[in-house]
Amino acid sequence: MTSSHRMPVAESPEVKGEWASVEPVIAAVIASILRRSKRDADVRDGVQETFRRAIEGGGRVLPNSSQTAWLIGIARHVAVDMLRAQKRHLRSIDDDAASISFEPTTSEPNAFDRLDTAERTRMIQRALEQLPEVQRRALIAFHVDGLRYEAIARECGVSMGTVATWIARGRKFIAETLSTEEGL
Amino acid sequence: MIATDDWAFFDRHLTDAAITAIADGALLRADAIDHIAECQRCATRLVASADLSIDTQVAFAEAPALAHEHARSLSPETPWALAFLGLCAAALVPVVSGLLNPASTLRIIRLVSRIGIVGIKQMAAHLDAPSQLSSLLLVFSTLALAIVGWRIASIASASNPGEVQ
Ligand SMILES: [Zn+2]
Repeated sequence: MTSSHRMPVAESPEVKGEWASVEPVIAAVIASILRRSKRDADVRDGVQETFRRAIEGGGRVLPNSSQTAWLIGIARHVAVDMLRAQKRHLRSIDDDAASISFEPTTSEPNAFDRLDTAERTRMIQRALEQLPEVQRRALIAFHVDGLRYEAIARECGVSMGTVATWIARGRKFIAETLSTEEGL
Repeated sequence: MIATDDWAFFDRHLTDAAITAIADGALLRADAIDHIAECQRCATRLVASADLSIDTQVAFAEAPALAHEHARSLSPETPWALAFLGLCAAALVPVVSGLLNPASTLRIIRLVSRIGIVGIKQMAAHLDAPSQLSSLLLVFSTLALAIVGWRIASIASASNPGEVQ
């Protein structure tokens, strides 16, 4: 990790390696938040800043399967910081609903953040028990075993779209269950 | 695998499945990513989906019991289930024959007990799943109780001369 600090971000092994395929996604998120073209210079700067923070943040402790989600989260922070800097500079841009919707959730914690760890774990376990078997197995294969969608699809003999649907529904159910229980 | 990708778009926006797959780095198709750059609604959904993915990942990391659950869910249950069914069927043969010939009841009870004990020992040695083991114990116990009940009933009927054997 320390070797990454001595070289340009674009030359780091992470950026040239496993993160290279994710770069268009990062650029798209930043472009959308800044409302610029993906090829805009600010967007390119934002992508480099995202990777720089990622390298410094040491998020590589996360499993490979979670790296993209983690980078998207950093990209959102970078883009919002850039928006704020622009606003400070121009002093005349009104907040709009879109930019507010991208604000990091640190000041407005979601259901997960409001719960202590032990209680959250119990709630997730309860939510998992209520999930249909295929959704539960797909979530566990992805999050616990670190399998990619393609591998899960191969193992289960289904399409990748089906795996994506299982994981999307499973996560949505967990989030809804936590929100509901937290609101009780 | 993602050649048709009709699951990625619906009503000119990305589906929840596609958003989830992009957040997890599983869908990198150009038109889907271009849409993120151009559609704030889908970009917002993608950021939320990425948050949810990380939150779920963290929750799993903090719950070792869920990893154990994983081991159970992916264990090769089917061969053992089939072996168990075979064992049950083998145990039922002498029971049925015993019904036709009550004189051999004691021998049947011994035989079934042996099968049960050997079966439980063998399966316990190969299975680490508590639910499977408890299922086996439950079925064997039920079988044993049924035999004991039948034995009591046959003794009672033998002691009642008015009842047909
Ligand atoms: Zn859209």
